Amino acid sequence: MKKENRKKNQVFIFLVVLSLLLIFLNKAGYLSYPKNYFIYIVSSVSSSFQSSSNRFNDMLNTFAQIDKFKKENADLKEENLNIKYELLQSKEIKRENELLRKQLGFSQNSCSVGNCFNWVMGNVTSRESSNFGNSIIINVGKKSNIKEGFPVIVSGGLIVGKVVDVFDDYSKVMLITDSNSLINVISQDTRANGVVKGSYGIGVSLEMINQAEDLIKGNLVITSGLDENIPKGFILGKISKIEESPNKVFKSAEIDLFVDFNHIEEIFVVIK
Amino acid sequence: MINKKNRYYIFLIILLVSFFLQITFFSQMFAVGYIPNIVLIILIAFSVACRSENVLYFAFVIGIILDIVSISYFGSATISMVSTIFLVLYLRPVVLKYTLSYYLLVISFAGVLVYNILYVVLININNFYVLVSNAGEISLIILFQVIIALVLIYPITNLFSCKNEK
Repeated sequence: MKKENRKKNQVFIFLVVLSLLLIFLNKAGYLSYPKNYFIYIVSSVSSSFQSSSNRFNDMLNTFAQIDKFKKENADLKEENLNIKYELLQSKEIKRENELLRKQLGFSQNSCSVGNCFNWVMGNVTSRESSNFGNSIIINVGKKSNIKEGFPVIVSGGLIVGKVVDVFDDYSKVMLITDSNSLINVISQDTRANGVVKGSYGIGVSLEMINQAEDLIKGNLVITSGLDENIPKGFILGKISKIEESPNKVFKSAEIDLFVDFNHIEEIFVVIK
Repeated sequence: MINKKNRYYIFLIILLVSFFLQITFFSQMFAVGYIPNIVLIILIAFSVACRSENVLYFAFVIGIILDIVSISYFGSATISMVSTIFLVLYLRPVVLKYTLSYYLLVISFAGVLVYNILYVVLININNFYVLVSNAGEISLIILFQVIIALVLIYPITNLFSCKNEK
């Protein structure tokens, strides 16, 4: 028994020392190439698991939500009519806007909020499963000119996170729901400045809002453009609950996110 | 009769398949915080069923893979995984005198608790504020992980019976 324990202790000490050595090598940047190669292998295998998983989840969701879909269908038909009418109106506004720009001497290619970004499309190849972090791996990396800090969005201009680690063909993305994620935002209508913080779980909260600023339930929360590389105007969600107390220095609020973070499949990395 | 070497290969395949299921199927089906850590449960079960320090090497390999796909500090999962399996191997003879189901519960409870606490402390080592301000949510996640482990440990341990070992 003693001999067995000694062997166990030796293996344990050897592995801990090896782990510390790897941590040191990683910090010094020597593991970048092997990590890229490893992520390539893991992503290749998990891609096939992922596509089966997507199909399985879609099937489950369809069965679970048939009644909801019926109601949604009726609502969407009504909404579609309204949108068609609004589209007609916005075409008129766009034409008028172009005319005014010309009159003011702006370039035809000048940018406005939410427009004229370059982006690279990618797919989610795997997700973090540690329960204490919230990240994904995507199949675009340095070869596609992606750099750390670039924002990651899904269709509709909804921001889901930012790139935190880049390899040749892959990148790691910290989702906005990660407990270490912080993004500067504003409330669209009242222009109240704040910070959206991730928490353990899949929720986020809006914090650090000055007591003097107004918050309205249902208001959209968008990126403020104060973060480096994250342009103004990407949507995060809407305010669902406001928490204010005269004793506190700042107000806070809960946010309903528009993205289902468990089912993100395609993403766009915004490149300046 | 299963050859000892083959048993390790089979175990490695089961471990890797579970890992891929965990980062794809489970992470899509369950909300973050409530994803069953099947890989850890399988490692604990194997340590209990087939007492061998070789499980420490498996824990190291799976820890490295978890670290590579995670955005947390590199090494957090590896050190937590290796330390947990070491604890399980160390505890095994201590609680062996009790009935199988009892010592399985004790070992899985201690293992999952130690792994999660160690991991969450290591990934927030530079940011203890996050750890303290989210203590309630973290405790709930750990409690859930412990319950899942207590439910799954017995059937999984039976899968790795080493009685027929050559």
